[in-house]
Amino acid sequence: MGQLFLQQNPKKLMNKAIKEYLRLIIVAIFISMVPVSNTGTIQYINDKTLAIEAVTIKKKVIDFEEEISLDTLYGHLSAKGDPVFFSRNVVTSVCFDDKCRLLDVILYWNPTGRYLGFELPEKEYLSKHDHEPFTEEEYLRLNALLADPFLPLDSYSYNEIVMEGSKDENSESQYNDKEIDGVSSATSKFILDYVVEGAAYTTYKLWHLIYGPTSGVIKEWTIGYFDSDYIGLLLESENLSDVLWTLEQLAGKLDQYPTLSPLIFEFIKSSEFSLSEKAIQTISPQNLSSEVFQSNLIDLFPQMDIGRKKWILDLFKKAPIVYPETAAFFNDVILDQEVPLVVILLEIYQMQEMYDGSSLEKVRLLSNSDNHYLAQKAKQFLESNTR
Amino acid sequence: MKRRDMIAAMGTLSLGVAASPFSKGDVLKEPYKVVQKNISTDIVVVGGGTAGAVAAIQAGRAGQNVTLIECVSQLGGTTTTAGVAFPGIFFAWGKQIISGIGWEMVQEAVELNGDSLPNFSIPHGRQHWHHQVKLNGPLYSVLLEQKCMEAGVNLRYYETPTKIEFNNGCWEMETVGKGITTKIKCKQIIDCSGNAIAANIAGFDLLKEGETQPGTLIFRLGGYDIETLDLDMIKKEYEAAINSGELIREEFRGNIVGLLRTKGDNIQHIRGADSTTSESHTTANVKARTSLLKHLKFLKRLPGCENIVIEDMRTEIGIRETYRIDGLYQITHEDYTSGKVYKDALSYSYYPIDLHIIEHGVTPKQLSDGIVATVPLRALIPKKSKNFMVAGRCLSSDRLANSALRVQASSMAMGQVAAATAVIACQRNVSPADVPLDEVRNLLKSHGAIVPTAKS
Repeated sequence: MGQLFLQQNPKKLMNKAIKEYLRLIIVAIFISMVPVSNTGTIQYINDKTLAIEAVTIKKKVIDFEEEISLDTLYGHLSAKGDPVFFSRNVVTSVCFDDKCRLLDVILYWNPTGRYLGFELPEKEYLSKHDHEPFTEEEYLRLNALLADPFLPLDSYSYNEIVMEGSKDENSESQYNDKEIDGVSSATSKFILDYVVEGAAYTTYKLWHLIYGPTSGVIKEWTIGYFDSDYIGLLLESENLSDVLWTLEQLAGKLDQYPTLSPLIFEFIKSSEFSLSEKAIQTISPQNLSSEVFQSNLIDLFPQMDIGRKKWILDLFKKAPIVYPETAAFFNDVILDQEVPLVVILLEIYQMQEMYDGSSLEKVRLLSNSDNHYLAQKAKQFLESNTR
Repeated sequence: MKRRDMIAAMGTLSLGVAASPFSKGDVLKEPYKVVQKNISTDIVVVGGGTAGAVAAIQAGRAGQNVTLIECVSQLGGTTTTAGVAFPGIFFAWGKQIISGIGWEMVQEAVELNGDSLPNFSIPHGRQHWHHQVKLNGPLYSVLLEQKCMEAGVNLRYYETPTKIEFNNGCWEMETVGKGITTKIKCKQIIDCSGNAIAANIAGFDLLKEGETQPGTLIFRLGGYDIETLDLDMIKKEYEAAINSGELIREEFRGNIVGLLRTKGDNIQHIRGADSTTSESHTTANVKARTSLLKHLKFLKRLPGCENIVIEDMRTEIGIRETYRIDGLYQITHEDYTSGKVYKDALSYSYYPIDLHIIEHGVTPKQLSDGIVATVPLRALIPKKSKNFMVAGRCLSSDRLANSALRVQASSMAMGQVAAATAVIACQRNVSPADVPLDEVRNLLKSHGAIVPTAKS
């Protein structure tokens, strides 16, 4: 899991009052500062979507429609001006038992909205309910938890964590664990699996900041920079979720980025089902106006399972044209396909008005099938030719 | 005097006194009589739910005459009528394990609804629900109906079997519906009722646990913001309401916060919910709706919940468990969790052991890494039966195995297997237990299904 740069802070150098006063000063300074620090801080950075260097920073004040509504989002851009990563200097409070503590942290995201890491300002550190600083293991656990977008924390409200313990032994939710973040509040055993023990509220707050509205704003920002080169870089990410997200944004739009086609075909060939599926979904019927594209697509056909073949064939229903080579391929394979695919091929024949001799001959054979269902389908096509 | 003559005479007598009671275009309905209909077909599928709709489409696409009997007004059962519109799981350990007609329907429903499929490549560990495909239930129901029609399936809604007898190598079934009774003669029956009702009528042995899993009415609450609620206060009030007898703890698993958080999505537990007869099903539905209303009224008097409303509610309670057949083979918990591959395995199943227990809630137990269970044909065939199969949750299995086997994707796969077997049985004029398995496998594959590789 990523790189680790950890420098232990001196323990409790200041009493709480002085420390919080200084935090406010630091906050005021940091608001106008570039949120990057490579020395003297606690910093956890995970795998990056893009390996290129960020050389400039662009700031946007965004209404995140959350607890910290108006805040600055920093876009760290490449020399070409494309987003490399994003950050926010978050200064907020973690409240429980009618007490609040300041949480001062810099959060980092990849351009795909995926969590990149966090950093604490100089001399800042995270602490638990008993004011004990996080251990190295706890920082690692926090970073791992924050990197998991599927934590069930999204289905729990902050309000639920601060509930008092339940005495109900029949309840699935048992609230009898003391000292989670706070002094006397308790939390669910279930939630304990998804938080740093002793820092439930901090974990919850950070996780929701990372997967809250900021991620969506970042994705929109990134999409605004989409061109073939930049998309190509995102698709080269070694992180599968980055690639899947990028492919999802391209759904039905590959005709706008024709130079990406070779890469898309490589993904379609992948043994990873979702990668292959989402790559197929990028194809627009307009892509099939190219004879080469059609040829490449039908070359892939034999490698596909029935589900993916169905998606590919569906594209041909709306294709501007079916080239003779493609039609010949369909005629070659139609009798050997699974029944649902034969029916889709017949629909293509009808929608594309493939009434040439070779096609009609194959369909006539189908009309004599022992399978009454298929025979009827074939006859319907043949009848449509005589109308 | 005949009724028609009397009406005519009344019309004459009233002439000049008052206008005719009938408008110009009105036609008097003839006296009520039950229509009697006779049908002859190859295969009858009883129940158009998760397994049954797929079974009917498979049999129709294989060229057989198929009649599908469904006691409600739409197809899809648990997925649609009961509202559990996430029919996972089709993938396990990064590979697709269930395809075929069920998957085809899911693909089309997702595409038509403008949705996208989840990332099946990610390991999900304890959180199997990340591989669930969420469907638009009404759309899915319509799609199933269209696919049945397209496959030539004779759909008979609002009908239920009352008599099933095996005579001279054929099944004779009688069904009753709205104003109609139907006598159906067929070669093969596939019972996809979920309750094994057809198997029961046909005289085959059924099994049931002393305490079955609870049923769940799916609904959606709105009109409150959980973030603003005083949950501690609500929990205390909830306990007080339980202690006073106003509310029953088990109906929402003792978890009022869970009810508010999920807004009613798969949280209710109704003890003993049984859809086997109209009477038991009515009882279960009334109990579920009464429970919802009581909790709604309770919540409505609490601060922050004054405007709570029922935004949506499914028409029926969802049923998890009633009867299972006593089959040629009973799948055990150990079979399921060890991923046993039988010589007659024709489909896969993948789900955690997922027993909902009134007293203890739900604790899914995940299968070990790489394990995928299979379903043998023998588990779909009742002992001492001929030309009869089941598919779906009423297959032959022990309770723990059934808690995983019962889920929708597995039921879809079973439905396709049962239909393919029935098709071959019809063609060869044999009973399902005697069909050549390779022919069934080939037929399944030719319709896109994934078939386990049998061990030698």
